[in-house]
Amino acid sequence: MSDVLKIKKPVEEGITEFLKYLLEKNKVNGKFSQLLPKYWEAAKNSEVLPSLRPTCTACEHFVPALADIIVSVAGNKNLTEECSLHLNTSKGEELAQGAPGNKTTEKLNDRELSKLKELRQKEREKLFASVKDKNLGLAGMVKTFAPCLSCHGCRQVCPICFCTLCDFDSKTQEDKPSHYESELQQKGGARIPSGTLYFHTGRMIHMAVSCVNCGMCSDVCPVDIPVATLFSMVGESLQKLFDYLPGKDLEEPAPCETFIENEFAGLGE
Amino acid sequence: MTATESIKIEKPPKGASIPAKKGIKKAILGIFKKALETESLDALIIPVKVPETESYAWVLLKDTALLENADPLPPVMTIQGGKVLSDLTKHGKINKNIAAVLRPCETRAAVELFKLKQLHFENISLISIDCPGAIPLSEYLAEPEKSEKSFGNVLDKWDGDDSVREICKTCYRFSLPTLTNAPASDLHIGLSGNTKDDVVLIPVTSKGEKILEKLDLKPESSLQKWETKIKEIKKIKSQRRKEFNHDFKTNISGPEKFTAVFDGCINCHNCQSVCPICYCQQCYFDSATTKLSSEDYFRRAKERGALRFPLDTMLFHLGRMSHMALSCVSCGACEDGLPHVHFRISGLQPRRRADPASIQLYPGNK
Repeated sequence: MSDVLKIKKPVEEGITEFLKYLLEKNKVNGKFSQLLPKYWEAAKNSEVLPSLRPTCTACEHFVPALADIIVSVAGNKNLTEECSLHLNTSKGEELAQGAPGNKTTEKLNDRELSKLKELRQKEREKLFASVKDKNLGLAGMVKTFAPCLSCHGCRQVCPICFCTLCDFDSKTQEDKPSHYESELQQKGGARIPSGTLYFHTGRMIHMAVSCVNCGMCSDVCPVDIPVATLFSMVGESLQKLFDYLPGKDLEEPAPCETFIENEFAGLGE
Repeated sequence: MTATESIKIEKPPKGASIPAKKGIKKAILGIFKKALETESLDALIIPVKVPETESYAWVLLKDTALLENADPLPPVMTIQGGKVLSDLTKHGKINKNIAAVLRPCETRAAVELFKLKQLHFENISLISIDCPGAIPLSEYLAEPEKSEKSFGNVLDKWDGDDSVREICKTCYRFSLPTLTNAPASDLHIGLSGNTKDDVVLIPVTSKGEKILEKLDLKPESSLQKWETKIKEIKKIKSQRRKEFNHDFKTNISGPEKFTAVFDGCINCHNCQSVCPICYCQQCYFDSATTKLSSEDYFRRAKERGALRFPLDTMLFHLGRMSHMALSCVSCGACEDGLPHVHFRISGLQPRRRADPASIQLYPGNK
């Protein structure tokens, strides 16, 4: 024998209602559930939720232009009443054929989307300004990456870093004792492990042009280095040079795949 | 020949007492300065605070000016010291007379790495130091000043203050290896049990004796007071470990509870990359062998009804455990290396560990 909680609803609805109660009353998921209503409210009203990841508060590319089906969330005032699926491609249309629901023709809410984009742009400027002075330049980079444990978690979780064995983890990059002996001779001291900045700048050179600002690298960092903000900032300036937005177009070759003989001929003059 | 190329002294009879009126750390650094100036040592490996930051980095140094920011016992463990020694000598012996200043679990990791052929001990002396534990890295980074202060308190009291890492609270191998049945260092720095006015340098091997000789330090002070205190702390911590093991076993037993421990794992493998013992150039679990063909993914999904990505998180942790647990020195680096999630809303906890219990699953040598 046990106590029974009876909810006068069909089982599916009843369970949903019960789960909703648990979430709202903060009985599961800890304090995280407090964030959820605020999260949806901000999405509905095209606001920037300050508790998002820094790169997310500054993300301007929140409409997935390439997706086959776009679930309208940002600036959608009817969010709590209905679920709008924008069939963005013929594949999307095909998938939705015969699906329950009413089919209408409408555009995503441009006015609301531009409003959110503008807000995010401002956040982006603020975010970049926050790292520009203290984190860049040789002295700034040394300080920024000083706590790095060389765990390479940023590389491991990066969606673009795909190599099975990263060059920076390979034998090529391991120093012989003679390297440290000569460092001692020349500089009086050497940091071990060596090459921390080399790894980060190296990874930046490899990744920044395809960096999608997803923020995983900062999320994983055990010592709170603002890796994602730096990659986002450097990435943006680099992507501008190539007039390139990573992930925008399947047909567009990545800049590192294209060779143009006279590209940037003016550089260094 | 022992791992450290020297003869172990069966029971260290006496130590050299060093006055520490200006603080124990200054006294220790003073000895190191003298050792470098007199060329008793060619260089030293020691944690150094990176100027204008709150970070500690391992530095191999001979320039005594660099000792200015050095700390023989920093409040945090950043990179495991055994790993640092391996980085230095993995590809052969170093041709300089070097001493490395390490926490006891770091000397033990170095010894394990030597056995695994990842480290050369020639010309290297290990200097171990009584360790009251380390502050969790994430807590230190959030509030460095507060953490430095609470670490000061820990060093004063030696009673397993709440502010050190969980694994450190139950660590009973925190002192001279011969007293705690762990592999030896060459020279040990005794802190606990002394008045705050002195530290004691204890020669453990002939190598350690030689260092003291060159520094003109005579091991003539009795170790009785220090030894009594160490035994006292060891008893408390061993008991705590016992209780912890019992509770923890209850909390993780059964596949459901055990799986829940790794629920938050995002497959970053930070635990593996910061582990001093996990030395493989390329981990098997990161290799192409563990990547399936799309048909395999579909087959698995069909068999189980659903497939969680990333795949085989438990296989990784169990595999790593079966590879590592035997040599695990319970240093806590894996837990410090875990990512944490930020919540920036006021009133919420500033940080949440993704995976708080993982380290405790690696019991070390009981």
